[in-house]
Amino acid sequence: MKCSGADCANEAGSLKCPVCLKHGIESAYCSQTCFKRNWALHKATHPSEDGETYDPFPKQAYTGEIRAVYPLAPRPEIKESIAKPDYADTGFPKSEVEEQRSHIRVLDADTIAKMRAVSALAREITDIGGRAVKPGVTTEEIDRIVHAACMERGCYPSPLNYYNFPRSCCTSVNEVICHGIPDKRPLEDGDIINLDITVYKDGVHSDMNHTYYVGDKARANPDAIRLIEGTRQALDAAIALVKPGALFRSFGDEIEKVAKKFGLSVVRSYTGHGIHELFHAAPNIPHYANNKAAGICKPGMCFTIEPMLNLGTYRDKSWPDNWTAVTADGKWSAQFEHTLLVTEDGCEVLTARNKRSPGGPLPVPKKLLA
Amino acid sequence: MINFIEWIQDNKGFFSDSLELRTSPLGGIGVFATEDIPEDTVLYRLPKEEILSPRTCGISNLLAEYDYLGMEGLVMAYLFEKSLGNQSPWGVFFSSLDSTRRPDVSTLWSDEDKMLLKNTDVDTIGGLDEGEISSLYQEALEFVSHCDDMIPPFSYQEYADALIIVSSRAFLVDEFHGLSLVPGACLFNHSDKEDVHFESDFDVCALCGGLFCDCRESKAMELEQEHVSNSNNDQESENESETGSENENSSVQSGADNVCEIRSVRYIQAGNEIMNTYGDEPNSVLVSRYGFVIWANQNESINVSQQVLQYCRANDLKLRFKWWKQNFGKLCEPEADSWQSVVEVNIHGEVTEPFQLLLTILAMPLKAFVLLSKGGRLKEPNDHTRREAILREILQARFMAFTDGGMSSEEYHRIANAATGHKKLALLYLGTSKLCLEKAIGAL
Repeated sequence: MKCSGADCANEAGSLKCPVCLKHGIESAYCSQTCFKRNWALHKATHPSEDGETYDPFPKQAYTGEIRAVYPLAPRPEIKESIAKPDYADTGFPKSEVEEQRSHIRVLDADTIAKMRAVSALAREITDIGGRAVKPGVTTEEIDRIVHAACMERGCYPSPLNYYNFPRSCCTSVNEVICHGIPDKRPLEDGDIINLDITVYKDGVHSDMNHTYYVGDKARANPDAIRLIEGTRQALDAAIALVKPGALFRSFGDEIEKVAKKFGLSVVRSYTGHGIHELFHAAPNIPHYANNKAAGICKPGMCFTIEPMLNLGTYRDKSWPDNWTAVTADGKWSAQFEHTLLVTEDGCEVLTARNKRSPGGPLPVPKKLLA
Repeated sequence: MINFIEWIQDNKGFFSDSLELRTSPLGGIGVFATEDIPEDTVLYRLPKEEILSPRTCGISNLLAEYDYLGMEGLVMAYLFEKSLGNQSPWGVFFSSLDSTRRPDVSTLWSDEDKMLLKNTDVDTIGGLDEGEISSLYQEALEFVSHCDDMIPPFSYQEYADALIIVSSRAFLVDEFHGLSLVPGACLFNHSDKEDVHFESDFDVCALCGGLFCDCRESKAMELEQEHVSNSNNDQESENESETGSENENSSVQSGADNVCEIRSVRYIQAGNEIMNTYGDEPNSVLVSRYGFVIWANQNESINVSQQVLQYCRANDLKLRFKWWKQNFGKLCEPEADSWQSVVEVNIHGEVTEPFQLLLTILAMPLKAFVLLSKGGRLKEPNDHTRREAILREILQARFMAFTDGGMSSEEYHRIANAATGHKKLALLYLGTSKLCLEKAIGAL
């Protein structure tokens, strides 16, 4: 049995978490120090005394109406046969941090073929998650469905244990900008939710995300429409620029232009990134205008563009879980993301929608535009 | 220029209110103090992500891919960004450069004007040779040919201009960025008695350029892990978690201090032009890289290697010279480029240690030299008369080599002040060389 410490690759010893034992669960650790070090993360999976869900954070942690609903589900198992990235057992993506930041990989034909295949799986899995989005479903349930879909396809869910992230995907509801941790909060009619899915197979990652309307109430909310459709169009406008010779810093100008048209602001703290054998690599792609991102597109490069646009301020804040990013004013935020391949004369959207994909665009009434 | 100061502020930089830009008596624009400035005052600051370097430019990945870095990489970065005009994040900086004069470097003088500095140190270090520029241009074309039309074409003249502008303004920022253009920092003119210094943390992560970053933590963690597996007890592990939290604290300030600064190193009076140093450079480097000369430059020296050779030949001392050539290296720290480069006298009339050794050897009785060359120990003579006489002869030969009818440095200075253009620079150059000789002869 492996040690339950998220940052530990050792075999477990005889030490077991007493709280878990009380609930009939075995969480074994290799040592007292390992147990102590992982306590904060582990504690989140403990049920409350009365067996009910609970809010782990003080009121001032929040900026809007969304609350964390704990306990989190225990870390999901990975099938033996599935190949794992280097951080799966330690939480630390060593190969990523050792990559020279100004080096942008140009992929060979073989790696490109793998990127294409894994991206098709990322699309399938996202669509499965997207179809599960409806009022009453918890984000934890969506995460469980996504995880199962990954296992069925022989994919490792890349977010799992990446810098100790506890779940298999990110679910970001309403004012949550990104990196929301799936928990026991049921979706409500009128919410919006972003599903951020990255999968790893055959040695490469593919990353995409999509924002969905939850129920008819959301589809009738003009602000939700302006936000989601504006963000969707911003990503599309940026993708239209991607070709050999395009500067990475130019995409932000285009995104900001669309954001302005929809009366939205652009988040600055999170960026698009190179993706291939590494989950996050060079180039770094900011989504705001007048940025100074270094580098130029060449055929064979793979990267994501993933703008996060807000109804209010662009400023973000983090929850005490050190993952969940929320808008500073609690107003809603949306995001769309694709993994792209630069081709000889433009780009290929590796994670493109297909006819059956849920979550298509809604028409935008003219009066919503600035 | 007002636009440019705004640009610095818009880019999270700082340009002190105690500074003013106006025409300098040295030519072009200079930075002046509008009020008294105490020592150790930060006058200018720019975060490193705003500088133009081979790492920050639009074609950073192409430069890295072909390992086309250093000065050549920076010139290419400049050419590429400049071709984008106002679309470049550094567009305002480029416009500000247009309003300052291009350095009038000696490599690009007319053949006639180059004759003024023929056979001087400027000539010796390649400062009259345009060939280096054209070979760099060929290398640049070679690089561009790999880049599938991503870099707009440029002429030889455009390349040469870029090379001169960039090499006269580049600062060595750190291990990651290397030579870089630091908009604003290059407004300060050079002096051998400077008021301010350029400062930047050189010791950054070579992978990402950060002062505190994951890459470094990764290395630290690796070391720790080795540590832990060596002695797997609780105490060690506790140390580990302590270090972990320390790293967390330092990553909070990450980036905050990764800046380039200009800081005063002495008290500066209101109204004075504020001078920086481009390094302890002699006039030969200044005129060939920056196109100016400093009268009585404190880093100046004059080479007398020709005269030393002539003296040895004329006095049948070639054996002694040869022995010295093989042995003087032990006295040089760091190692000298060539024997010629150590045979010189500086602006204070001083002679280098290896040159003194040569003089001692040339002056010693034959018997003493024979003993020395057979492995005996060098004995310093009590009487320096002979040695001084040899030095005087060499210096006087150098003095005569000027073929100027024996003009003094003072006379050079006087006619230089009345002259203009390249002629003025050449006269200041030659006069300062002569001043070195006069100081050395005077010290005998």
